[in-house]
Amino acid sequence: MNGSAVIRRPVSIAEAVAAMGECPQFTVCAGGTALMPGLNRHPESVPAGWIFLGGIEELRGWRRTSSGGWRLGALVTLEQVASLGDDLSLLAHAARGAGSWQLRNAATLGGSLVAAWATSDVITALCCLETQVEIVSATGVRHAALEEFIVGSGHTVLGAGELLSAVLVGPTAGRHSYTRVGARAANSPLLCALAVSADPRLETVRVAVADGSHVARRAPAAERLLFAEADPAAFAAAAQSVAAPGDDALASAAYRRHAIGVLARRAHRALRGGAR
Amino acid sequence: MIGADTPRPDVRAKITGTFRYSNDLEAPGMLYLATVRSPHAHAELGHIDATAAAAVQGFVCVLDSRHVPARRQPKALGEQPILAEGVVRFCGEPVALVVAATEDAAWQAAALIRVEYQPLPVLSDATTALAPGAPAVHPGGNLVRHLCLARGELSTGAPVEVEGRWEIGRQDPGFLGLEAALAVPGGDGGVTVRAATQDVCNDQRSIALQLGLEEHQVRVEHAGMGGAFGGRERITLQAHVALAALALGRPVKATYRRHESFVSHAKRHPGLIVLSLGATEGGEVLYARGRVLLDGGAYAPEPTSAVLGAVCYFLGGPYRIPAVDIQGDAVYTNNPISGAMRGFGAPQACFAVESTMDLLAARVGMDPVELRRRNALRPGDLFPTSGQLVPGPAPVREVIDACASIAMPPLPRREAGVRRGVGFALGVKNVLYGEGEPEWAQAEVVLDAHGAVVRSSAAECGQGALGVLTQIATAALDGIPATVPAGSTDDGYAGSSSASRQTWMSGSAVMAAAADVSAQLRILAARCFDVELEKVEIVDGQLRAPGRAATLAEVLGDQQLRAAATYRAPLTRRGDPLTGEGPVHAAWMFVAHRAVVDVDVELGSVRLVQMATAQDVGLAINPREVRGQMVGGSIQGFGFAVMEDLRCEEGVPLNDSFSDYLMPTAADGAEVVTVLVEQAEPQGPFGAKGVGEPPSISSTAAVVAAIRDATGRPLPRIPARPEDCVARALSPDPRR
Amino acid sequence: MEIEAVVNGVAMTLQCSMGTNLLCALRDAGVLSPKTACEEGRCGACSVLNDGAVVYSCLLPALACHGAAITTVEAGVAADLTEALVARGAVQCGFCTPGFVVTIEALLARYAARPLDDATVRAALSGNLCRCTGYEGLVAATLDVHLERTTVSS
Repeated sequence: MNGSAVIRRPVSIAEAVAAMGECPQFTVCAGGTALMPGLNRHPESVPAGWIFLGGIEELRGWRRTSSGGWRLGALVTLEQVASLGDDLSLLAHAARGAGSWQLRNAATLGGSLVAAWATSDVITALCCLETQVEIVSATGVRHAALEEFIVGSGHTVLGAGELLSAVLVGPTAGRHSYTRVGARAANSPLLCALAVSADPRLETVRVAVADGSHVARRAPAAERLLFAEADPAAFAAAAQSVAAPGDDALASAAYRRHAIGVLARRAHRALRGGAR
Repeated sequence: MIGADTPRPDVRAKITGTFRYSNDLEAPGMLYLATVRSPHAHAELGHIDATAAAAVQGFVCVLDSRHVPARRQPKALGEQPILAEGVVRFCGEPVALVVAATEDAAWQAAALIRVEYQPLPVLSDATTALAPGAPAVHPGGNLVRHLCLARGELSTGAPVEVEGRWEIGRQDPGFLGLEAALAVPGGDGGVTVRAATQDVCNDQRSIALQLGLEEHQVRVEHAGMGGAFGGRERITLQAHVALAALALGRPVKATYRRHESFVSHAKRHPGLIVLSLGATEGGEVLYARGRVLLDGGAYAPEPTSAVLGAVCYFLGGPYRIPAVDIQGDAVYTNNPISGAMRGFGAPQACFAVESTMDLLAARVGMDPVELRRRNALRPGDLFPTSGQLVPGPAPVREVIDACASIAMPPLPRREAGVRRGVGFALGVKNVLYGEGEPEWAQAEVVLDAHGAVVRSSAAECGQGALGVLTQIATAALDGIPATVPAGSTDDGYAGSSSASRQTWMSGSAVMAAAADVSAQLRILAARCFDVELEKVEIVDGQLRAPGRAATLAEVLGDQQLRAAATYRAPLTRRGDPLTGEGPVHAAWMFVAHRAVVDVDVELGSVRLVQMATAQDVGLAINPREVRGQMVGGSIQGFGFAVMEDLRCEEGVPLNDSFSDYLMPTAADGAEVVTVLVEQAEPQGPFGAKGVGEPPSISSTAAVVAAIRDATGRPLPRIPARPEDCVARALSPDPRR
Repeated sequence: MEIEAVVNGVAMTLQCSMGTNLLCALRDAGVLSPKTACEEGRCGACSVLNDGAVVYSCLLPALACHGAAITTVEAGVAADLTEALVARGAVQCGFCTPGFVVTIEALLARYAARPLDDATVRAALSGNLCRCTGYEGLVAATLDVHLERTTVSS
């Protein structure tokens, strides 16, 4: 059964956007990994309809852009991201720690951004990579900077009839560091994470802090301090100051704040001491 | 056969996916049942409105306590009702059952049931359960059991005294196979229930009790089980499907979701133990003074009473201690139900004893392992709490030495901020029930030309019970192949697969029945061969006499030989009401663990480098399977040391899912080096004794000791999460 | 509602409703080796291959799998892996076993031409929970088979 009134399987972006316009109450599904736990737990909340994006080839793949950056299709899986190299290795490093192999094989980059979880490793890394998202709708294509696209945990500016089609990452060079703290050795949501990228000409530093309760945010004060201060303490304090973690069954707010400080001190040492 | 690594009979089917579990059960025309549960930890139960639910396509009916037939015996105080009556006492307590034509419809309808509750004050802190004014969980107060053990004369002051206050969190059995059961009505007022359960006879008794039936009207059959670890000792959904099947005259199946599995089955008792050890400057322990508090949760006084007994009786460890003063209370709260879990009180006691022993070692300046050697029980000593004579074999010293001499892992590459720690712990538990609990097991062996079939109601939880019984039967039949199919209440009484008892109990019954059949066979062969009985041998499944040989078929023809046996456990008794002394336990199992961890002391993350363990296993019927228990239990113990805790707030579970109730993955595991210390248990079949629980007993304590060694933190609580293991305390709380 | 999928090489029609996940659809169609144990992608007992990639079938909407090629252990398990799992005592209750077998075979395929070590195996298998065995037998069996297969082929 290829399609019916309640199941749409578009094979192009245009078809997808048209379906979304016709049926705004339908659930748009990329990998499904963010949607299904809730649906499994509450089977009474049956979707009114589905729009499955998995058949849209133009949403797959990644390539360099003319400006020296990268364009990654929304359906690129986290496992594919994990294998990227070169100047996407910060993002790859972050993806490798996310979930498990099975999860990464199905979870998509686009889906991760639309879900906008506070515990997202890839969003934390993307904060450091001059990221824009490409949004397609019936009226055309628009771009939004990552920090404008995600407005809160689980909330983006993606409107009705809009499809996130690609993630654009600016040209990056130089050193980076991605560290995260989990509650066990693997397959654990992040308790906190720190992403840093630094241009070797020392002109562009980006620091992103994930505290487990809020989507990762930049720490401008820390960015100014990375190369300005030899003592890691001020850098670490600045990183901690943008975190507002909460308590939950896995860890306390005090621990997450402390751990961010540790990650920051280590990143400071690593990035100042040698290339990565 | 005995002592061989014989592959279990079911292992290939499990690999190829053809092995069937209770989750896979089906019957023609079956209906599905979903459970409506209380979101409140303590509340008056009011009106149940099924109007919206009834509109779901496929809805059949809703059942609540009014639909439960009258009982023949009154409910015991603290017994969990099949469905809540007038009051709910824990978050997740079953309130109503919805039956529908499909599983989806049952869940959808259950979500639409509207229940009125009047919240009542919640008792969630066990330390306040016995204080005046505490909310009463049951009429008659919150005390489940008070136990006093008092032996010898406590000296008014020992040269050295150390004291520790130890807190134990709530570990969940976390078995992967979700609860599932299928009930088929018999048409004669009876019912057959197929379920994954640790004890079909106990299920039968509980279902009959709850539904006002006679026991013979309830049959319970074993279905494939995805693990248990104590969590299937009590019924959860078995009486529910039976109730629905009898009410509707149709087969009814229920399967739990993970979050309701978490709230339904019993968890390890959390609690608080204060323990002082008095000793000489030379480290010889003179007395143990302990105070124990266990949180029993909302229901189930029987396992709670027995677990309290275990914690108290093992609070002197496997040590020679002339005087003990131990008092314990187990209380009801509005928290999820506590009950049996692998180790059954011994892990909690071991954590307290071993942690306090390490305080003593530090205080007297002695190596922790040497301190254990100094105080270890030897054959001929008296068990510290019960005062029982410890007969040989009691290889406590051998277990210590074997564990301590396992080669250490290679030294790590120097890594900034990572410190290695080593910890050692010694554990003990009784095998079999104890404390006077009646205990026996039955088996029957039927032999025909094709081979032998063993009939036993022993539960295969995944621990390999049926494989061991197969080996025992085959050995007792001198190599005639035997099969041990999964049984039911038609196959006699075997008791629960718990207390590390099934090899000893059912193994002994099987051995006796098989030996009887073997003797009958040899008599028959002697007649066949016309020789004296003594000249007949069974070799590789063939009958032989000097110059004669015959196959089983040739000797038996169409005949069937059968024998039944009942094996009774060595007698035990409840301890003296004032002192606790007496023949409380039939025998003991001793175990040691040494854990090596690398701790990132700034982040508090703990990596297991190596677990080493030596265990007093009797003679191993199947060494590879014994090793499997040792490795598996050790990793469960690691989980309890660093990550496993079902946390509740005002009785409401916070982490009832595998997303945040974390268990070790392969990435958390490490090499577990095992040494089997084999000294035959004189009373066990072929010298075997129990092996399932000890791996979970001293593993946790050893890991925590190792983390203390690496970080210097006192770690009075398990699990020790990363924030507890950071080398410098985050919070001003001096206890942590 | 229904979808058409190729399950273990055989075209099958799977029944489902709007919210059904692939795991339930497979099990309802009699493919019982993938297990329901958490339904939130944390335990791996439901692991299957979807177009060659190992995934959690509980996290896939069944309706999204129209035309997919799904592989479970019902397709057959390689004899060398079966014997290694038996020899290493890697199976106790067995509930996690089919999920592990699928994941292990995917790992062995990925590393068919390169070295494989204990740490890599443990990381790759960290999406599958086992409560009984403590993982040692599963990891050892995986390394045994990898060694055997790479030795034979070289």
